[in-house]
Amino acid sequence: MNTQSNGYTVVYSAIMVVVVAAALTLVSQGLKSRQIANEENANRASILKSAGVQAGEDVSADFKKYVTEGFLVDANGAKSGNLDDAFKAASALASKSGKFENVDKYPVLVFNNNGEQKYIVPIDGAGLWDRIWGFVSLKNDFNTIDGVVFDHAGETPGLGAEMTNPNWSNQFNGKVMSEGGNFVGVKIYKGDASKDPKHGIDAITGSTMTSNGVEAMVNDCLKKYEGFKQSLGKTAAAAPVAAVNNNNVND
Amino acid sequence: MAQTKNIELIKNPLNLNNPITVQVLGICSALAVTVKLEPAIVMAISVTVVTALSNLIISLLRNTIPSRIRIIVQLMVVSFLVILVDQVLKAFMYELDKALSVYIGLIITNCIVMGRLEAFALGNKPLPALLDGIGNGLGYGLILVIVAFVRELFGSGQLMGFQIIPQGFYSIGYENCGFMLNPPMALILIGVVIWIQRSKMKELQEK
Repeated sequence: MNTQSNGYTVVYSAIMVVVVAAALTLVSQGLKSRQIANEENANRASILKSAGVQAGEDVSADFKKYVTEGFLVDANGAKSGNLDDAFKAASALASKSGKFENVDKYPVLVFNNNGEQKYIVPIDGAGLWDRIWGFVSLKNDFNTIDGVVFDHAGETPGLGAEMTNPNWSNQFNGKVMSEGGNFVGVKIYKGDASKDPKHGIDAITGSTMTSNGVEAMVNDCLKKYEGFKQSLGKTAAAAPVAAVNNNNVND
Repeated sequence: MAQTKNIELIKNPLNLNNPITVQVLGICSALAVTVKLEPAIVMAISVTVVTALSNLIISLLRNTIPSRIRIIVQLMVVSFLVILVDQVLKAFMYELDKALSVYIGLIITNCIVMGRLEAFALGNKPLPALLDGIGNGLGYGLILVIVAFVRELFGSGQLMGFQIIPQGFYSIGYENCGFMLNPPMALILIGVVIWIQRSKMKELQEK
């Protein structure tokens, strides 16, 4: 058989492609459930980490212990769904393929540690090269950042990829989102961020685009929860107002 | 006769013809994945699996491959195996797969793999080709493990994640060498390994 003829070459490559593609499809299908379970556990660990808990050996048990409630909220703050729905939606958003623009219900996970309550929400946005995402844990007021965990698909190692470094991302802790009812968010500064202690974040040197991407990601995504925050404020404010109704003259 | 030749195929890449220190191939990943011992070992096993199996497959196919598309066929076999390794790691060693990140994918472009396919597998029977692949994978892995051992021990005071340097040392002023964790140190260490190897082996010394 002439192995140099054009016909042989074409048929040979065609068979090769089909065989390799079929084998890879088979492997990928066979391992898929395990891989998804791994990714979900990694997400659970990230969610706990954003609230300051280092997950142990059994991540899903820890997750169950701390994350007690979950729901989806729409732009007006109306709740729906359960913890499972919220976790699935959060995992989908905090990934390479997730996009906040494509959904109209945003997941909220409620973290509970001995009565200390925090809210954890996913965030996602665009870095310089590819998608960036993460989880933000907010204090009980849904206004102060308690902790963040960032991840990225393809930022430059040593520059943009430093966004995942806690030495940088810990700057977000304690930053305040809204002041006097107006959403301000975080602000990236080149140089001295300490003049703006409530919102200022020092940019990553050499990574203007990634730093701006993180700023936009945090602000854009948290803005979507403004409706929910206001509904939280109403229920919190409603109780004392009802109790001291006769003092209303001061309003 | 054939027996000793087969043993040579495994032994040579470990010292006299080591892919990293003598042929100076596959340096890029050697710098990147040797900060800790565990990823280095996983990387070494992955590369050994890929070189061994790709050598075997190409050797089995060697008389059927049209020579005009042989590089493409080789690349396809290599990519197939690398994706396979990546999928298996994602399913069973997720954390390590994350730590090795792009470097698993980059085994495709590791010069050792393609180099052995072109230089050896295309012209030899399956068994010697398989042994040659294993030998070269191990030769690569050996250097990786040596470098990672030194870097983790002196850079983090640990081996395989376990604390080796006793706490007492730190309290009397010992400090981990942060420089060990930077990629340049891997290059320097590989240089030291090459230096030691050449001074021991007269055959490798250039006149």
